[in-house]
Amino acid sequence: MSAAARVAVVTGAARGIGRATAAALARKGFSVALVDVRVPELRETTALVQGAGPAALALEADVTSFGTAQRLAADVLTAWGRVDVLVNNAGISQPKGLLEITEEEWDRTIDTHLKGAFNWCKAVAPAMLAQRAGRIVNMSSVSAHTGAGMAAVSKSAYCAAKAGLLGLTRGLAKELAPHVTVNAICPGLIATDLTAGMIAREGTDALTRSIPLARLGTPEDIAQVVVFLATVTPCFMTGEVLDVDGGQWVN
Amino acid sequence: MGELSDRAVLVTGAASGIGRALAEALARRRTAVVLCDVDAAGVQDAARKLPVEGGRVSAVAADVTQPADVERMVERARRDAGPLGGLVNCAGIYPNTPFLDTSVEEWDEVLAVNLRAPFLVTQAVARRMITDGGGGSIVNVSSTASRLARPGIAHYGASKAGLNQLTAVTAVELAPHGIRVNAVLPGVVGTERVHANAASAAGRVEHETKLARIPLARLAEPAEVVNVILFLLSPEAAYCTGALFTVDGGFTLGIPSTR
Repeated sequence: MSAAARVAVVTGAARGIGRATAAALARKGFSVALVDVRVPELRETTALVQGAGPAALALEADVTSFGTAQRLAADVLTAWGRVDVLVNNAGISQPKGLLEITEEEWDRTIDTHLKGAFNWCKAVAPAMLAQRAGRIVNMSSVSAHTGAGMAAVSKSAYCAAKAGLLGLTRGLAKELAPHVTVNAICPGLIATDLTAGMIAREGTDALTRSIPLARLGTPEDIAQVVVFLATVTPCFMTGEVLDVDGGQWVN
Repeated sequence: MGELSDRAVLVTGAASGIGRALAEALARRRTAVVLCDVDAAGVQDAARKLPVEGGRVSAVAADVTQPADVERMVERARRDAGPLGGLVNCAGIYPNTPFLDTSVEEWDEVLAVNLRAPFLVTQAVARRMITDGGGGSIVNVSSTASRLARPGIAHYGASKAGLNQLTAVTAVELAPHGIRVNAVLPGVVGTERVHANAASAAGRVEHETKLARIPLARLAEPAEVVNVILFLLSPEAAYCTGALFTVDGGFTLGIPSTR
């Protein structure tokens, strides 16, 4: 593989928002490394992303592993020579509240959302700083503001993990300034594989009642905001938190 | 960024600063744009100097704090440019007066231009967007001063905080009509006036103190605020409404950077 012009790494890229984001970045000309644990879906998505842009690389990995992130980031740098954009999107649902959740489930939730983002920031930030350019986008959630919402995927452990991402975003925005920007997106209720069960259970009509725009969000709605943050040049946004929720939270 | 709506965008405060830079960017994208400003000569001049190749441009002088003037201005914009797909409430004033010295006249003027005017213009434009049936996107230019306290801007900060909440409530009320409403919150923008002040001996210290608080270690270029407004006007922001997009280089994070 030869050096690429622009390189993005997207975690949790096999499905949902990650998949749409990887495809949208590919369409903008990025070579995209896709990280996920879901191997069959990752391969399928990587083929799709390959067809949409210059190059795609499937990295079969669990973001909770620090060592794996270090090793795979080094592989990406060896293959393509740079990393311009990191999208920390990997996440799991956690429908259990405090009284039901086990210690292991709590750890797994925090590790996937928050430590996973730390692992990948730690793995690619040195390259971004050396390039004197880089964009990091962390996928938080409006449930970081609201606490457990109506979405059953977002009980307290999930909310805590997503709120942790906002602190990481703000802290890193300062640490990595001025050449690397770090921002977060807080999606509202997005129709993805993660939320499909809950949407089927609750019914779309009931769920959209509290959303002023009267529809669920799509992965593409969020991907477009990621692409904006990843590509707008020059960029004076860092440490910012963008709510993309159809007006649900302010309602 | 993708294509904006083929319908016209109305920009208030378009004779100078961000409003003028936005009008230029819209004209360059071949979007029909109506420039509005209280400065009649200034807005005509700004419109004349736009790169109008393929774009349609018109200018209307109006005092946006006055309901009759707003009604006349919006009616004329609708007639000149066709159905409006976008509105950017950019007109604003920024006096700096210690709170204890602020007169009631100055308070009223700041609230009138920065808050009453967006109310009037949004209402007049939204009514026509609803009649025209095509939805729309409205962007209010707020400020980080709506969230941070700095001496001398009690009236300005209050007006912009009010504008944030006007944004949120109109987002909710206008959503059923397909109208999105969002705000951008610029930090300190490097306009000509700001750069001139920074070049003076007195202004230099203040300028450097300010920069030390901004993680990106510089001021915003007007184009950087314009780009965010263009994004919010575009269909790519289809699921954004009631949101506040801060464009401040990390300034709002507050504590001085320790780089």
